[in-house]
Amino acid sequence: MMSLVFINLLFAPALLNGLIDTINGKLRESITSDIILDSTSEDGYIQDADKFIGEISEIDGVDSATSRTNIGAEILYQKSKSSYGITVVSPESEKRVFDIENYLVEGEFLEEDDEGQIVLGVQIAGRGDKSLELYSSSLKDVHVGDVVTVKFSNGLEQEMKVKGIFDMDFIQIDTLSLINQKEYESINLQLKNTARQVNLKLEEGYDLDSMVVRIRNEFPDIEARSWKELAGIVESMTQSFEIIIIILRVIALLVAAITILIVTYVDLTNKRRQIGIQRAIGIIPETIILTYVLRAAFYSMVGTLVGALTFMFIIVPVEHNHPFTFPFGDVLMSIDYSQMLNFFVTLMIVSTIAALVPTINTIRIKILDAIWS
Amino acid sequence: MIRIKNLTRIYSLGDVRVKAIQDVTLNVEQGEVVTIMGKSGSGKSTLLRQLGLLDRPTSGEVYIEGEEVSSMGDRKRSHLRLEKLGYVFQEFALLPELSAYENVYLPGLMLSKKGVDFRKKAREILSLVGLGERIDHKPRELSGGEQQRVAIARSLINSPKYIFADEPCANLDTLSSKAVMNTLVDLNKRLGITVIFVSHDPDDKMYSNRQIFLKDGRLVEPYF
Repeated sequence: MMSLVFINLLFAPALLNGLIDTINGKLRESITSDIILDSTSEDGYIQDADKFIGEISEIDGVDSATSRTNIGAEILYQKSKSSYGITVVSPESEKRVFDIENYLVEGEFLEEDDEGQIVLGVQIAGRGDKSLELYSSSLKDVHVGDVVTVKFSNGLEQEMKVKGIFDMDFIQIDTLSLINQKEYESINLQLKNTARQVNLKLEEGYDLDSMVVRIRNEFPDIEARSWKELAGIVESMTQSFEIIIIILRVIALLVAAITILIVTYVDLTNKRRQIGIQRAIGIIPETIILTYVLRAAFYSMVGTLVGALTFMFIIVPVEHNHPFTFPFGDVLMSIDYSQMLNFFVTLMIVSTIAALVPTINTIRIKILDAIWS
Repeated sequence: MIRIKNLTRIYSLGDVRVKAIQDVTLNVEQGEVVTIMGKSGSGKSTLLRQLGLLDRPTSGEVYIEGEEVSSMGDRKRSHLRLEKLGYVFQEFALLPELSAYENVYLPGLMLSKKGVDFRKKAREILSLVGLGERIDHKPRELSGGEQQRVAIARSLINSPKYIFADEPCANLDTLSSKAVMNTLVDLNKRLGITVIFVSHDPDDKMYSNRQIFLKDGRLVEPYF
């Protein structure tokens, strides 16, 4: 029973941790990168983007940098229309910073010199897959090689060939449409060599916060934010999940407490006479209480240990082979060992208190009443 | 020495108040063997439980070696029971999951007096009461007489100055009864232990130096 309670305590947080890791990972791989740089200028554009990217890439700890610009546009295909806008990317550096090209389900990723080509997220393309969450607002049945019409917000309209379709199992990402910088500049000459934002990928293990501070100091005209500051979707979801987890945890601890209480009570009822005898021969009540509390603590410890081992070596590996599927993709449970230790200590305290209550009650019974019971 | 002064014990059974012992005063000298006698319901066992610190009086005082013990705290009374007193129950009161040896050794385990090997002592005492060959037997594997001798052995592990025995032979056959009573008397003679035991059998008078008679919770004869 204690094993089941402990598994119950671990399950939801592990799932939540996995969920958060998955979302954060995908956001970093495709939308935010490690650090996002925005211009603080009135027009919101980083001018001379190539030079800026060159400078920022020289900073110790920066692995690579790329620029992105989101523009308003509608994509039309036959009778369907999608209005999620378009993201302008620099394909070569984009591949070094982001990971979208590895999630292509059709075709290829953009190149620097591509002309009239577009890469679509699966929720935009539709691909004839009616099970997609946003199929109704997608282009329904677009595949690589199809030609879509792009209506830019400046009024220009252009026919573009779909070069690739990606599917990251994350709606927020799969509603992106990508064109390259060359294409963008061809339709908007006055915005040549500009970018709305620059995304940085840091070297492995480099401290995120210290880099943000350093960039803020070195580039006062640039607003630098870490991916954590932009992970609002995760933040709000985490808060909701944490409330659910607290409720589940309280229930699990109550179940554990009641179980220990009942087991100890039954044990004490069966051994009331023995307790009376022990007290009659002079064993002090505290010693008897300690015996029962230690016994409960031992049972809890063994139970939680079995639960922990079951969770770590059976449930988690099985879940990793058959992961839960969420709208953001497959979620792999993630074990937080400090949290596990925390649950273990909590469960031990709860068990001890649960054992203490009936034991103290039984010890209060008069010696003779206990012996005759 | 044990001194009892104006001891009264009243039980409340719902609205009914039962005066089990009333205004009992007596002294027991060190080394005496005293039998508390009387009919069923006369208050014999109630009186013995007051002496054995298993119950508290409604009023009156109990002194053991000059110390008033009836109003003492539970912890102190436990220590006193463990260190100075031995109590033998009518129904043996052995712990069923422990062997004879373990039952006897248990109080020793709690005592942890320096220089005393209670393991060895438990074996010696079991031999003393004639159970040297049966130390590993569980209570259910022993006869009534043997169980009662294990109970006596347990009461001796702390080298008590006082042994209180509540009808120790009530559940035994004649042969076993004799063996148990002889064991108690022998302990008194060899070790100088004060023995106070309850009996309703007039024949048990022969084992004691002095008899106390109770009727309706009161002492009914001059006794000191």
